[in-house]
Amino acid sequence: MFAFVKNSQLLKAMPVAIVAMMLLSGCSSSTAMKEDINERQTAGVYDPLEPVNRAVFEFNDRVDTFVLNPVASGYKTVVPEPGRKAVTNFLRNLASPVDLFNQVLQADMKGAADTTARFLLNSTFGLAGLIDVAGEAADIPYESEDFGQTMAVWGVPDGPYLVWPILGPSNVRDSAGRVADSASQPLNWYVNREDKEWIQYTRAGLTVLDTKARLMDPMKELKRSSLDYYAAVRSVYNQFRTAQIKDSSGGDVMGGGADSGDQAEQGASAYDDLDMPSYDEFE
Amino acid sequence: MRFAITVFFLALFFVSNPVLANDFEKRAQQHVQNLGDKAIEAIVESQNDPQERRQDFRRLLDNYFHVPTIARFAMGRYWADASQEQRDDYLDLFKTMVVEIYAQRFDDYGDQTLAVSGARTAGSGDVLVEAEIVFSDESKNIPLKWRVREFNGQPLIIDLVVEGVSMSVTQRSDFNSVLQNNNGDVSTLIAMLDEKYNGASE
Repeated sequence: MFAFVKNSQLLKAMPVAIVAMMLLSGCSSSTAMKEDINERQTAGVYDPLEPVNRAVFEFNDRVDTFVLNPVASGYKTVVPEPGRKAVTNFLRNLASPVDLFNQVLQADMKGAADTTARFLLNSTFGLAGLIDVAGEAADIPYESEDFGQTMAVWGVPDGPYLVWPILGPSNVRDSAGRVADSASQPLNWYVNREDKEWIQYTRAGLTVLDTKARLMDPMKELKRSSLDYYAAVRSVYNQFRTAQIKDSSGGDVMGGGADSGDQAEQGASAYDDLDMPSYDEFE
Repeated sequence: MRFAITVFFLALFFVSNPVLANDFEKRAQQHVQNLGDKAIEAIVESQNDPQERRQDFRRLLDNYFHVPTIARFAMGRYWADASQEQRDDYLDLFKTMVVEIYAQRFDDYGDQTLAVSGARTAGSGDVLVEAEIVFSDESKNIPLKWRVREFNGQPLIIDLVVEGVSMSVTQRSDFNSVLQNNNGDVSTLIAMLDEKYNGASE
């Protein structure tokens, strides 16, 4: 998505940005992070830039309503379900090196093995990633990893909530993570060396289309069923990321995929510790 | 006689063992499965009758969920400031809201079913029931978690989690944002709910 930024600049800026963020926000221990997650789940997301974020959110919502949703609807009409699934599979396969890189950084060896197996199987038998052979035939689960999650596992707090134009909800940590992900994508190295930027633009365009086609209906549903759509999206983004991070750090998968049914034995997650009081004091 | 004694001790063994602790997990799973079956029944039967669907859903909400807990959690600390009348109005509107949201959500219902796969007790003592909405295309299955708590011996649902996103937590963030932006005025929240789910102000 950061196709317009040259990678050489990114590579130089990345470590500086990460160190700066760590200094700014202070590294937290894992217990502090857990408390922090619980606090954020029950209270609210740290959002000091709320007025600006709301304005950008409003803009994005309009772009969605008038441009992206109609385009995504058209895509859903023209391309039938199996075709759209192939696009999703293809894009996920392209992102495999980034997933793998981050799984290694998170010391998630099972995940790394899964991603490697998936990449090898799907790139060959799965016709360059169009068919998810590994998931369907071998039951190897897909996991989306990024540098934002990796930093979270390392203990970097998420920092203020941010809403980017078009790209949508994020926070300081996850934004830096996206820049790092773009830099660690071998496809981008190739594109920059060979000056084949059309590849990046095509991939970015497909990613937007694919994401919108999948998220359009749930987002409309959330808009319909909330009083403050902005606050609802902010909460959902935060909860979803928390669940992804929990899954990275070996905690419980909060329903993050149709993998083995016996997650029941795994460790407690932030949601488990969520205090939903009994409210007897009000009686 | 010896048989009777054996049975007695066997029974004692099972009753005094972790099996007892798991009994509520089992009942919670059964509770969620029952809700799933009943809900699908109601959806299929009320395919062309939106009014009937709302009545059915309200009955399911009353029988399978503990709405007061869910509603109070959603209002958070502002509950303490609300008058008794406001609390009653709010609880009533909350039910209407949930029924309305879910009645519309199942408008394009296909042939999905709910399959319960397991349960575990969370730190708070609530049971988290794992389940899946099963589609004919298996790759579209949606994993769910239901938070079930015991009220006077009866299991009742107090939250639903989809892809790591809790409905109760989201609702709370939504309502708390509204309340914060209106100086904690509960009557504004109630008026907004009333307008959204009961049509124009009555």
